[in-house]
Amino acid sequence: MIDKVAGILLNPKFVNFANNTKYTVSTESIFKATGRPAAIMLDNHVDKDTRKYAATKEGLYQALCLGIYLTMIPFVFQKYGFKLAQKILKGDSSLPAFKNAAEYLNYAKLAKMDIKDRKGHKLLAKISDTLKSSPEENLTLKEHLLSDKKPPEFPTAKGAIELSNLVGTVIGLAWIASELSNYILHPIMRGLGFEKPKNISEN
Amino acid sequence: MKDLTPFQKNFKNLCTYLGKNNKALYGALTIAASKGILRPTFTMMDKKQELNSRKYTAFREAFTGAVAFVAYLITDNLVGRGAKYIAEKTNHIPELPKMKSTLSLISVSLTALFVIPAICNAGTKPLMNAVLGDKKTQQKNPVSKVNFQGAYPAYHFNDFYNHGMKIGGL
Repeated sequence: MIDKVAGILLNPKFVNFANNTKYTVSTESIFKATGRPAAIMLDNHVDKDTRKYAATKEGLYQALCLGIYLTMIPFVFQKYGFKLAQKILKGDSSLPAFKNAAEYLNYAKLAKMDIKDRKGHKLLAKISDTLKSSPEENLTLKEHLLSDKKPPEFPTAKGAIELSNLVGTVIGLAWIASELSNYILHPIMRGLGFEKPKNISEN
Repeated sequence: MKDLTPFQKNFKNLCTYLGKNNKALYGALTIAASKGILRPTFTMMDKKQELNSRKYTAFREAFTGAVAFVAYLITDNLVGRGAKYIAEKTNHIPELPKMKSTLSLISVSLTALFVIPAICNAGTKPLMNAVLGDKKTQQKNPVSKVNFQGAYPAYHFNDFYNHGMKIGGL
């Protein structure tokens, strides 16, 4: 029995799926967007209108979160957060002048591979030929990848991306998605027939 | 290499720490905490909705954030132990990180789909009543008003059917 469980957990397709952040976040968001509103509608402690409001808000919020996570986080926060970190630490060898966060992520993927696997890898073409960690350095980063068993990993660069993602997630998911859902929630509720037009009461 | 200012040093230390100690759990906890604070705030600002609905929704959102925070801590711990146990029993120790990632996805998904909503359903309203006060219960058992005109409240015709001896089934 336990061997079967191990077999499922180590299924290559499943492992690839679980290691892809986009897939995992999407899966969790879909579960949240369906499970939470369903649970709210089952909460008999409150009246039906309140349940409809809370459930629609939850479903809409989770859908917005997924959209923001897949678009704004990598293309806005990660991109500009990394650039800002490079500006702050300009000239410091801990954060070399990678073109962008994507170039560093490609470099990091290659640095984790065995040296024999790096040679001829398609990602190698995406690393600059002239980039060095500092002007005093003799070898370029590409040469390090091709000659060193353990090339420099630049944890500061990785941390700059983590920090950008974290800040972006808080701003995007906790703030922007909440504010956006307030704006579009009521038109959507009216569209779904959960709210009568002009049935607004100020409290 | 140039000298770094105190701000640059702190920034570098923070980035290096995050780069070396990258745990998905930190992100999940930060997000749960920030959602638990900001979401209810924005919900209470939605003036187009009736106050009691807003209160329930905001309370539920804050409670969900708190439950999620604790659930992520517990899940992370249990997944680590569970994956290690399975890996040891089936001689897959080198593949422990892979096992941990798949088991983590399953447990986080199940927690998000069933555990957190179930806890919120069971706990939101009772906890809300305990924190904000149960107005419905108070309305059901109104405290008698003090009557300065005598020991008994003034008689109204509407009370005719509710007082005195009744014959038959009114």
